[in-house]
Amino acid sequence: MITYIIRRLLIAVPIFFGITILVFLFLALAPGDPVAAFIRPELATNEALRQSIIQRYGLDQPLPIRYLRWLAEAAQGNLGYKAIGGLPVLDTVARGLGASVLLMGSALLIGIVVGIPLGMLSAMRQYSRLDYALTGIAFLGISTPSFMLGLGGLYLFGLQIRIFPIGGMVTAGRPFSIPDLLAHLALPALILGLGYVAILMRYTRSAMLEVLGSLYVTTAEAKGLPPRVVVVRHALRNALIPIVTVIGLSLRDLVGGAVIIETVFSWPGMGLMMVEGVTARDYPMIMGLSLVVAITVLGANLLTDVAYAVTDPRVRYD
Amino acid sequence: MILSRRTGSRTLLPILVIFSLVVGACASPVASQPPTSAASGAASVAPSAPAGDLEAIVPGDPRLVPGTPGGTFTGAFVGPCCVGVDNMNPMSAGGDYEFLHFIWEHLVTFTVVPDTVATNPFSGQYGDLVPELADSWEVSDDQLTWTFKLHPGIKWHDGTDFTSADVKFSFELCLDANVGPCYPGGSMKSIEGADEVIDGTTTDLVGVQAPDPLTVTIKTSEPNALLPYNVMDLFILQKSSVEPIPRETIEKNDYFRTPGKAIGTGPFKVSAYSAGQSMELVRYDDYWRGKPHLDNIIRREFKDTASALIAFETGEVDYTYVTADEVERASSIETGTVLPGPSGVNLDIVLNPDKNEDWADKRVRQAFMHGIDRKSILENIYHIPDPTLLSCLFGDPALNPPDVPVYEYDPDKARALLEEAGVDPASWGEITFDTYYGDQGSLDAMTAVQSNLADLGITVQIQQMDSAAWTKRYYEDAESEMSMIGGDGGGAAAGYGYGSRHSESAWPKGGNGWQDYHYSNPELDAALEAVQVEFDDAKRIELLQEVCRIDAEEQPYINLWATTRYWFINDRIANFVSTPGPGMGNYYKAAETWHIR
Repeated sequence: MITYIIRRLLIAVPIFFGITILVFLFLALAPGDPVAAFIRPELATNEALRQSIIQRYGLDQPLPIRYLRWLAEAAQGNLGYKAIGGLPVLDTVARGLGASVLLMGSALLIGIVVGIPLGMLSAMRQYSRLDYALTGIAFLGISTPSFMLGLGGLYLFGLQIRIFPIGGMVTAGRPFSIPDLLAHLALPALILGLGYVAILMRYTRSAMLEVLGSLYVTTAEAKGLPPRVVVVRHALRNALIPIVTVIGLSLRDLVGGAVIIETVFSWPGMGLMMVEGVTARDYPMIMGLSLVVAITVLGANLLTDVAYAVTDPRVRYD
Repeated sequence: MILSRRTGSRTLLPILVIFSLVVGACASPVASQPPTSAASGAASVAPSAPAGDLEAIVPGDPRLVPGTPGGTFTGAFVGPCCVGVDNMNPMSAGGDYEFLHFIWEHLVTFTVVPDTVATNPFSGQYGDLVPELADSWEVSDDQLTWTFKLHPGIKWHDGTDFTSADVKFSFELCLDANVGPCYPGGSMKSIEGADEVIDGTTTDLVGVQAPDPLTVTIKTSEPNALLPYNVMDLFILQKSSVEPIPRETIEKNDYFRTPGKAIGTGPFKVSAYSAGQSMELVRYDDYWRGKPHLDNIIRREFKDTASALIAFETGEVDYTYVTADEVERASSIETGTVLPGPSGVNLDIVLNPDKNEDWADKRVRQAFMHGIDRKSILENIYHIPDPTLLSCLFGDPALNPPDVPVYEYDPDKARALLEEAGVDPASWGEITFDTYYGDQGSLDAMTAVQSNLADLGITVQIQQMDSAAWTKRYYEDAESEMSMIGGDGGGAAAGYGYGSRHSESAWPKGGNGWQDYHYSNPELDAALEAVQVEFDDAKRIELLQEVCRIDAEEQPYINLWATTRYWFINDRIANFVSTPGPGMGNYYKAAETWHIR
């Protein structure tokens, strides 16, 4: 296993460089003036200022030189500064990462804690009214656009019932507190979690149905094992493999964020930062975000593979 | 001082780009929208002024009612005005200008004439210049030297004296290219020695002198009647705290965001900052206009106007921007008042004669004006009753001559003009009609234009794109055939159209034209030049009417309409003065008198 992990880490290095090179190239090829990101639009025709910006950021250098300069600085922990506003990219990305992990992690946790048990229940009571009801809810959760859920949730729970605050991570003007943070987190996490609940419920149901029909499960039942033991220790254990895959694929959402929900709830996550960076052609910001996302996704994939080995003893890595 | 409008800058600023990105930046906060897309720009002409007193709101105005101290005002500065809570550099903030005006101030500022809302709150359009840090200003007999007398006794937030040295320093800082972008710098090139500071020859701006602590003299290289307007947007910074910062690192420095570091003369000072979330200001008790009533002002970050409006309804915010689509819903909320006003941006259609030489004929451009049912678009898409249509770039009736051409919707006249010009629209093929506005309102308006033009045999294909892509396509590649843009609103700070229509303002030097093309009309050039050096207000109005006459006749930028923006204020806030001007809104807002009713 250790050897496998080391090998995967070594493979990740060239993949990481490849990702950053591709992102850098796409940025360079994208329409739009790179100088425009650093300069207020009203000054875009001030030629002296344009030249100053070009020289300062080396925008007249060949692409390979610019990439290597960025890489050298990034290796020293300097990801540059946002084009507009001048905030350090590293600090901004770290802040966004924390916000996204908190939001998406909470949503994923809700999905796991609620979705998997409901999926098991749905499978064990296949074709019952409960099963149909849960299936309907799942499809609703998957099908409803997130901006509708977001604004609808804000309107219902924020305005009409008034149990959740409107937007942001904390209440401005008050000292930071965990309860305040949780109050702001609850609604966007629940809305996002609904989607994960729906997906994981369906996958769990499907996997469980496949496993519940297996001979070894029948044998276990025939041996007189309690139903709970049969389901949890035998059936679920084997059904987890595809579920782990889905969860593993969702780990990248922890850093990708959810741009629609982040916009509606003014949650300063990575998704919103990335979209704002791209539309503003904020190259330092885009490269910084891409670096973090690349590292995280590569790590998440490795984690998923390791989880397979833990979940399924048949899986061995040399 | 004459009634004036203002937008961007006179010589260097590309007005079109300013508004394209400022306006664009604002609009739709939904992530799918580019920088701004501009629901802002798509709104329409201000509604008819309500009855009531139309005198501008000035310091000490009797309409500003007394009140009890205390309370917190929370604003969602979302929409066209603003980029974000992190954007705190007063030299380059652009769209967050209005918020920064709580902390830093200018030599002079505009008043607001409350011709749209006069019920305390107040909203309307820009009036005349009034003193801010400068009590008075006058020009010498040779019309080359302006003398500004500073208000005595003003203290910075750290208790030290504000002096003329701070003013001179602020000018020099803004013009120093090492500092990075400084928006007002483009308007200051007429100051003697400005070029030498810009190109780095010196850091000493010889044209600005501080002969004594309360006097600033500004010498121009040639007579410039609009100099006070040109310098009005410069925030005055404290020399002692800003000068030690290496100039090339100023835009990255956290000075402007950090409590205790950010020092201004305004009624409020920075007290807390949460990156990406909020900026909190606390009352400055020794403010020179009097101790402010409010304890705090909080700016909350919102990316979506719909969410901000919900927050308004719950009472979490007192102030937010609303799009034209949201005005009706906002108007039904009993706790608030909608504040409409001119944005200072004109919505224009630009035709590229390089792509179609027929468009160089003014009769063809006039045909476009007659062929588009602007009144119907404003009434039905933007819900503006009885809108005023533009003939030239000036929306102010006082600047329109009595005989200015009026372009009523008349397809027959449009066809007649095309025939007279000897052009056949069918031969043009399909024209790409591009824009950086990404909001639905703009798309609806462009669709209506498309339909109107189809009646004339003109086929257009609408293409919306983000600002960066559009800027490259329009300016650098000169590939745009027909564009809808946020154009020059004809304000004083922009030289009343000098920056977008004078041949000397050819791109990239100014906002006239694009790569390898700029509009050139010697008659209009002469009229614009005369305006810049006319120091008599009455005579300047006559000259501006002449500019309007020529612009209306020529339609170098097809003047569709002047756009309106809408803010929404909680009625519990007394003495609120606002105008939804362009992102660089510099006006007296009476913030020190705001209080909770």
